[in-house]
Amino acid sequence: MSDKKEKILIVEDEAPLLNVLDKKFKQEGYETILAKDGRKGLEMAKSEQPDLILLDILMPKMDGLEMLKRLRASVDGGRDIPVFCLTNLSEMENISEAVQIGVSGYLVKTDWKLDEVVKKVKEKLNEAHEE
Amino acid sequence: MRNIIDKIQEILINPLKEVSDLPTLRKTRLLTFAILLLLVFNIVFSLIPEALGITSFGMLGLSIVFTLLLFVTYVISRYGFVTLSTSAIILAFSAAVFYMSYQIGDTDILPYIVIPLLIGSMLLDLKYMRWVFYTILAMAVIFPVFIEGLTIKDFLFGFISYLVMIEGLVYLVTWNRERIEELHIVNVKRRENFLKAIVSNVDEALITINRHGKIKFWNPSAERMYGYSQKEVLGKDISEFINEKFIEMHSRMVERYVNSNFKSNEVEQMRMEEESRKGKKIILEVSAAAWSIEKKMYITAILHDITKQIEIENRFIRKKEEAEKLALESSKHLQLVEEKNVQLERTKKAMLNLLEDIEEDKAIVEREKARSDSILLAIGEGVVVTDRKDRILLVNDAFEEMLGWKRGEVKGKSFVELIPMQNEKGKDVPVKERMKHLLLYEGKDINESNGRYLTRTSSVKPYYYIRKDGSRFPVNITKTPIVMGRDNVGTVEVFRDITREREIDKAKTEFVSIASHQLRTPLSTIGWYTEMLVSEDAGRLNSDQKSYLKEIYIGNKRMIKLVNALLNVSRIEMGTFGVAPVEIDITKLADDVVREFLPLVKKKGISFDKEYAKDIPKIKLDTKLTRIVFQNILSNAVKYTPKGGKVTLDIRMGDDSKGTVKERQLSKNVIIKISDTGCGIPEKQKDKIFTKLFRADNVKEIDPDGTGLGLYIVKSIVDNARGKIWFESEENKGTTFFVAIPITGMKKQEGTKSLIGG
Repeated sequence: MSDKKEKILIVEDEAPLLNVLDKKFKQEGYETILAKDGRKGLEMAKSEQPDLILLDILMPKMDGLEMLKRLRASVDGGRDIPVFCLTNLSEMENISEAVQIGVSGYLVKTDWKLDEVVKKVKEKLNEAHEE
Repeated sequence: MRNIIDKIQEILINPLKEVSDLPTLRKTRLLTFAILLLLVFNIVFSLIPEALGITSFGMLGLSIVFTLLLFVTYVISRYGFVTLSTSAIILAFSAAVFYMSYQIGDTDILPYIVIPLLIGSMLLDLKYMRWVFYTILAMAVIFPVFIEGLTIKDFLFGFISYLVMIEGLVYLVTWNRERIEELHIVNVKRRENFLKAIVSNVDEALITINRHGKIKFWNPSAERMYGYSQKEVLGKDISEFINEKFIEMHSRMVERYVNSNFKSNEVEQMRMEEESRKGKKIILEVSAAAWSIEKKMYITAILHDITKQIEIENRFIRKKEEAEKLALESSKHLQLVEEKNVQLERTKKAMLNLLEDIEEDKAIVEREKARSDSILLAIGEGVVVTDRKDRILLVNDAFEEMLGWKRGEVKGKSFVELIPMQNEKGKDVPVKERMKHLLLYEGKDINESNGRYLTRTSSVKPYYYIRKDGSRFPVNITKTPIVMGRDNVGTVEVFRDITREREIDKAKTEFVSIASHQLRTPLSTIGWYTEMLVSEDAGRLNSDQKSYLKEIYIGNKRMIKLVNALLNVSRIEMGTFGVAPVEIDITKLADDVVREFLPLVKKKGISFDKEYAKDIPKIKLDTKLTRIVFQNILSNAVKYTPKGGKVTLDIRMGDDSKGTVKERQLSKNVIIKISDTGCGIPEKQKDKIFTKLFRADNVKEIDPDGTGLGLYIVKSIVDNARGKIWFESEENKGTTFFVAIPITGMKKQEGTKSLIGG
């Protein structure tokens, strides 16, 4: 791991979940930035240029998929940031839409342990480094 | 019936009577008679001068009397009283004339009177009367010789001249007779051919048998009906070929006919069921009549095959009932969505059947037309019937209501042009496309799929019809061509406004979606926080605290599982789960699932065996759904098998020579067999095992956590794939589950939801 901490943007409207994710990733040695809705998340993604985004889907103001769409379409950076959908929506249409827009993974919260989520993020970031 | 029998009798028995009526023959007879009369008067008048001189007028009177007698004899002969009695009379008269002439003393006159008499009698019966004639001629010539002492020369001259004259007449009469016979033969032949033609060409079987039951006649239709040729049956006993009922009727008729002294004229009629040589069941209507010729009695029976007629009648009665029932149901309209679908399908079918019947029996349908029309009009769905060129023939009330067009405005117009159709995005579906998509079938083999071509539009991505006022509504369309023989003569379309269904559907979908999110969010919160605590990220815990937290964590997992299963069930029940088949190697998929279970298998101390046949083809299956099937059954097997037990997975092709009876019937299926030596399924609860939320008593103790949804979901998936699932089980010994999946694989199914793998 490099001396500079990798930055993870967590977009999640449910406070307790945002909190526990924040704690966990900090503990694992990442820098975290947090957003409680899609609009905020999009702003932060553009301004902060995180290394990876964990994105909830069902959120107020702007939902995760809409945010993702705009991020991918934006000219001022953010097109290539890897994104994991971390959500409780398991409908086929949500998943396929997300995949179409371009995500690195689609994780259903109840099916994934925190440790496993961390592992997945680590793998993705390592992969990015190797490239 | 009587007519035919009469005809046969007439043709066989009375040819002469027929012949005598022929104009040509009558002429010949009249001619003969005229010559005869001429001869008589010639003779009579040639005698007059002599008679005036020598004999009395009494003689002349006598000759007139004899001429009249000749005429009477001729008239009598027309009524057929010939032979001995007549010739006796004639002989007696001749003798009387001889005697009288002897008394008078003039014998010259004798031949002149007697000869015409003889010629006349010859006409009656040539063969016989000829001898009578010669006797009398001899008398007529010999008497004068005795009485008047004529010379031998005179005698010979007289004898020869009469002989020539008489033989000439004989020739004429003979010729006449031969002509009659010739014509008679020709006529009989003609009649015979005519009869033969009738008898061979009638659809009915014609059978003639004698009083002892021997078959005398058997027409081609009888050959067809019974499968025995005329050659095979002629002269044989009828009981070898025809059923008992007929034999009984035969003996009944024979008895009656004989008792009535061959005069009974009755016709027997009955119905009987018969089996042809090929074993085909047919229903026959039988009419039989007795008749006789020369004291020989026969029975002719006409057998009419009414199987098809009865079938049509029965079918029609059934169809009618069906249609009536449907009309009733239609009026009760607006029920649940599922019911609607079924109803639509059945309505369609009933209508199609009604229309099919038009072809089968126009006459009957004509009678029923008014009725079926009213049924059609009362149906709650929009109905439009078009001809093959898409011109509207008939629409119902629902059509008018839904589309805003009146019946009078649409009749004869092109349906696709009149009612525009749009897809979900509001784009018009081109007319050409609609014709192709919905009417089509032109030139296709109609016999495929039993002549039924149903085109149905999807409810998930519906089309829209545009009303007269330009507004639109989503429809579910079922359309079928009307097929007669091999021709497509038009279409029937039934459509339904599915606006409300779609709203309900959408609401349900949203509910499930929201519910899945809302229920899982707190569960993931609990899960992750518990995980943090257990991993002691927030400080060390004592062992009690740790174990309590573990309970919370396990409980949470259970809850998640239950929520997932319930969501799957609701998707199954809504029919909204999607099926996306791809070609897969089912054994590879099985291995993947098995790998997940191996740690548990090891931990529990049970052994696991697998065996895959080599000939298993790749099948188009939805990976996720197939995985759920394996997961659930394997999970149960492992869960309910105690330490030291064994779980076996066996995948092979169904073979009609191997396996259990059930397996053998599934030769075009892949059969997955999962056996365990676990607790088994209690006998009493076997029939409930696939029921939603059901859990057998014995497994509740082993695993209190089960949802009771696993097998229900598995069965729904297997059913959806048109496969089969069954099991064999004995309590405390083990269970074997069988899943048969057709190698044709799963069908793609549009659906917004997918099932959640466990």
